Amino acid sequence: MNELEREVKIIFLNEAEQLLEEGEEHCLALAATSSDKEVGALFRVFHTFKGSSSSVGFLSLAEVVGHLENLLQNLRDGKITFTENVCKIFLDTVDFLRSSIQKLKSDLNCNILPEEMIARIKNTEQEALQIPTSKEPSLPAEQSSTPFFQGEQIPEFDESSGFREEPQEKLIRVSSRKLDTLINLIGELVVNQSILTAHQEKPGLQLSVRESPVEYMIDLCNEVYELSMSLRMTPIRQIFQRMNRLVIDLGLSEKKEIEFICSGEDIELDKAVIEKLSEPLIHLIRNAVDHGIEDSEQRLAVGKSAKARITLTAELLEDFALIKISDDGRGLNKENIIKKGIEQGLLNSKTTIDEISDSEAFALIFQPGFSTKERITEISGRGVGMDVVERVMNEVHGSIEIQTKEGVGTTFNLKFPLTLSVIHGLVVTVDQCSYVIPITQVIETVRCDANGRVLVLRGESIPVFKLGEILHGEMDRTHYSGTKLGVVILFRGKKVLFEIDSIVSQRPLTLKPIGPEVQRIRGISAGTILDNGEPALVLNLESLIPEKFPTDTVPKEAFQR
Amino acid sequence: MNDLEHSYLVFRLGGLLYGSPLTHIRKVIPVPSIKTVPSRKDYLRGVINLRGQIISVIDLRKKFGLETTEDPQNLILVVAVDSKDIGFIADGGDSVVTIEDPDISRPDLTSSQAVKNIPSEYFLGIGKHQNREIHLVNLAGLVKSSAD
Repeated sequence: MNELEREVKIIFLNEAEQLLEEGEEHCLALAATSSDKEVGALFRVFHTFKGSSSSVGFLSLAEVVGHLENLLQNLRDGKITFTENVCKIFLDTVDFLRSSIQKLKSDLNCNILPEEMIARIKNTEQEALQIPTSKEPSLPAEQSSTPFFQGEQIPEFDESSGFREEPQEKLIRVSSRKLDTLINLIGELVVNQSILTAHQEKPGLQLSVRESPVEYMIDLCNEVYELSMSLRMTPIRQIFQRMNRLVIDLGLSEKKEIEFICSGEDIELDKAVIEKLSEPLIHLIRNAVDHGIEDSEQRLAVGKSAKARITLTAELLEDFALIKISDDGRGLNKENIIKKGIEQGLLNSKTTIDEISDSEAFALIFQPGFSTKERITEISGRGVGMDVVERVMNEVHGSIEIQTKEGVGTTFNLKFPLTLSVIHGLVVTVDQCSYVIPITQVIETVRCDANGRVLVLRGESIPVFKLGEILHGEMDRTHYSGTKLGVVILFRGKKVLFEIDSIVSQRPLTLKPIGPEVQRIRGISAGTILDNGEPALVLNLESLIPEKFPTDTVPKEAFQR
Repeated sequence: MNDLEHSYLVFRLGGLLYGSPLTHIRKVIPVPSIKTVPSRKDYLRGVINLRGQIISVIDLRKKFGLETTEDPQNLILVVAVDSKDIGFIADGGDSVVTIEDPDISRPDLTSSQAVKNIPSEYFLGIGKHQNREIHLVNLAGLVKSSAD
């Protein structure tokens, strides 16, 4: 394969993913609206896919899509209707193509076997037409007249090879309008820089521009900065669409009727955040379908409509984004959770329901290995998942909150920054060193004049961790005589306080990568550069809390030395 | 001097001469103010701001376990390790020299103070240049090996 050939193949693979996404979107829209417009759109997408895949030599992909086109033709001609099965075959084909593309991305020469997929498409088509078709006898797929049920099996790829992503350069789609504006701005910067240079060489030079070159430079720099940040922003639509798809798939396999409603798809987030969010959203939706939503008989019995509802909304709140996932299912049962928590050894065996606040009890579901459903189902309930949600939210410096009412439903509120490259941080000092604490983690800051290990705040006793001792160990601290401050965070539903020396400022800060030597230090999540040009480390306070931090005993005893 | 492959940057450390392949060195800078980090490893001196990037700084004297002398620490050698820069503090720069392979020997140095903390795969040998002995080290490998 020559270099040019390689290049066009790689370009195709990147475009193909986008096409498949569009295809999926139209397919879902078709399922919802049954409009001819969507059939036409699907046709266009798959036609493009077929054309480009065969032009770069991926003939088996083109062949699969060719058969899908036949099906579409029949659909357009009104010979078949868009049933659940037809919808499924479209989505399955999209999955097949997607995994094939992943496979090809790691090895351009790998062999894609389309026969089984083609047989399935044909079977579905035949079923839908209810008359046998024998249009294309020359195709190899015809020879393997696979019975329908055998055709249920999706040709699965070996996990180890199929989904392995080779380290490759990540591409990002940027609107050409943004790019043009950026290039214009940089052009202006260059012009202004030459004005500044001339000004420096000839002091007193009269300039014909309105602003002073320095002010102009400041404005330009800000604009360039903001625009360059926005280049990474992409609408959240893509991920919402994937969730829509997930709800349809899960509804089918779990035999639950579910209506999926989403809003706020046009909100733009950093691509890096969107990539991170898909995993927790998948877990939360699976949990909603599997644990949250009751069977239709149960729903009818308690006076709910048989059709359940899952809502996914996104909104912007000043510097944060809020994603809400709600279901109208059975809600969380505090008593069951506490019972399970005791069984799993997460709670003291004598814990009673009144001793634990709602938020503490509900926070238990984020503990690794926690699961209340007796039956382990295929889609969730293995006790993994919710801890992943918490981990990811930590990674993106976000937070998660549960609202639930038994019998009415559950809502998860995910709050996180718009981008991973900028955080709103609290710059604090401890032992004369500056650190940054992401503001999303902080509930409040208080005066902390407690000498002990517990601070009583508005009647609530809160365990105190001395940040200086945790980070720097024992040392002479007599030089610092000022009043200590405390940063209160929520850890597994319970308030804990970190004692610091002072707060310097609260401001947006650009995150910078740090080397592995520093990354490995416990409690350090990233680096940043402060106003004065000095580097500072960003802390993840939660990870500084000792492993054995008791969640079940009264903190007063636990923290006396 | 045009023979890049055999060029070494020679630097002083604890009264001894060390050398790193010149191709590994991205730049050499004077020591700026270093921000300490809460690490238990004493050789990890902290981080610096190098043109907007945060770079970890390793104290080579401590890393090599050399005796602390009063010599000032003047230079940071910036080396790219896995696409991320890292800084190594040396006492001072000496020269850039060309040492051909035949002039590099690998004597038994098990008892040598100079290289006792250097894993043998990253110790490239002793280079002879104008009757001076230069300990040749692969600095990039040095930090990879300490990935614990």
